[in-house]
Amino acid sequence: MENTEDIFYKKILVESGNEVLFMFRFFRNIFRWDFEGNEFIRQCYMIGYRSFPLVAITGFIVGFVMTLQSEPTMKEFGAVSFIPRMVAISLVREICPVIIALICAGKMASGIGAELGSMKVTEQIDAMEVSGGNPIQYLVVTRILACICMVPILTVVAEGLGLLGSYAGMNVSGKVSAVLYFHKVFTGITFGDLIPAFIKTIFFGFAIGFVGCYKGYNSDRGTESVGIAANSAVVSSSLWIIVIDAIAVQLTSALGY
Amino acid sequence: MKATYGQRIKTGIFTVIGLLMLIVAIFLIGRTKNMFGNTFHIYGTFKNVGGLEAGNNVRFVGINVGTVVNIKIISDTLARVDMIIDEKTHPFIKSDAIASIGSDGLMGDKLISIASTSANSVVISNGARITSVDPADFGAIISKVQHIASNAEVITDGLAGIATQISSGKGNIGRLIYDNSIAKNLDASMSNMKAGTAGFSENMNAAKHNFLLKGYFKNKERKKQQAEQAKEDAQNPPATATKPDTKADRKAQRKADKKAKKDAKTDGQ
Repeated sequence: MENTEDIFYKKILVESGNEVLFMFRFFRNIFRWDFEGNEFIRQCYMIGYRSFPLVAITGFIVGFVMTLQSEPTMKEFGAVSFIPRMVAISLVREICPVIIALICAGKMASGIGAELGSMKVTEQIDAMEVSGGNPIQYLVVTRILACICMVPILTVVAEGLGLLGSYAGMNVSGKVSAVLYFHKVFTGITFGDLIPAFIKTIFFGFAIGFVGCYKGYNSDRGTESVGIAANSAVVSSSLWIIVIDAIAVQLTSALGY
Repeated sequence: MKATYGQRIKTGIFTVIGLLMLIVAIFLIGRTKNMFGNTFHIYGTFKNVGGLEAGNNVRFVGINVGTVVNIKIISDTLARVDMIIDEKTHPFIKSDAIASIGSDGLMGDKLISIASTSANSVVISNGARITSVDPADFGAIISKVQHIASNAEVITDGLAGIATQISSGKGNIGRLIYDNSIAKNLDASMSNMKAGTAGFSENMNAAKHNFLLKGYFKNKERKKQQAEQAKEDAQNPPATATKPDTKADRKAQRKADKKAKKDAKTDGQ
């Protein structure tokens, strides 16, 4: 019994150590001269552009639904005119960054995990190493950087579409001019709402890319391990996102935003 | 694998659009917060800022023209409120304008409203102090209301005492409501009065038949009858005298005639 517990703790420590080492390898490889620009852009296309429809629909509907859901309550307090401000603040600060990050975790991390996992299983990564290539540089750095760049942009797009959705929601029951609505939105939100949330999404992007790559790159040899890599990539990157969000909330409130 | 031309273009467009949205958002937020564009700076001192915060709006003639940028305590009774105001409204804000702290609706944010007092004075200079009026102190209002309430308490106490006295039958009003001896007395005096008036009318009848006064009463009667006759003639001219048309009317007419005759008889006696 004691022995298995010992092994369990050891496993966690070994895993953490591996992750830290992997992170060092990633950072060491960012600043090398042989950056794979072409592959980076292809990954941006695959990860960012291909996720756009999903993210756009989600963002629009989240804004639309939030407005419709909050309207009856706000009407009770006679505070319908506060809806644009309320929806804008909640979308920009919390809902869009987290929901979009979780959706991206589902789409990107699983994709990266499965892709790199199957490369590992079919020994393509080993072949790359043997033939003098740098698999970390070519496979990992490009993917993580693509996630870091694309997740914030996807979030901003989702926020914009979410506000459009909220505007549509306001016009379901009443009539609000676009000028008035967006004036209320932009007087409601401050830099303290936008900038910390934007910085947060960069970390979300890193978590998605890093966990996906780590799980795929370190998968076992065997067909089922591809599925395990994809699955655990989604699970742990979602967990990372939630944990980073909790830390970010503490930081932003400590800094007074 | 190389990124194709289409992939590059699409990624580029997508990235540019995303970044543009971010920049537009930053610009729009900044514009409403007066961080960009031309502004000028004034300050006011208040004994009590009433919960005003940095970032609250400054209004001139009801329009948001600026924001509060800083509030700091400068002495044990004074706070200094720094505001930045849109340069476009500078020509309209004069040196004798008055700044006061108000609030936006019942639950709304605090704000500073600037009101002009005269049109002819000089424009306020950048960085100058603006005359300020302290907001209505809610504490003072409450203490006044408390004073009113304590007065009301004294009044209602008195009223309650009166009400208990009335209900226990003390005092004039209490006796009027609860004591039936007054009513009995009144009853007795009313019956006395009735007897008295009956005697009096007998006396009067007797006086009428007295030979000393008979002539006077007869004269009076005659004059009265003449006056009545004249009145009737004026009201019903003989040409248009209407005949009673229904059976009931005729009956009523007959009854009235009979009564008049009877009256005349009794009068004659």
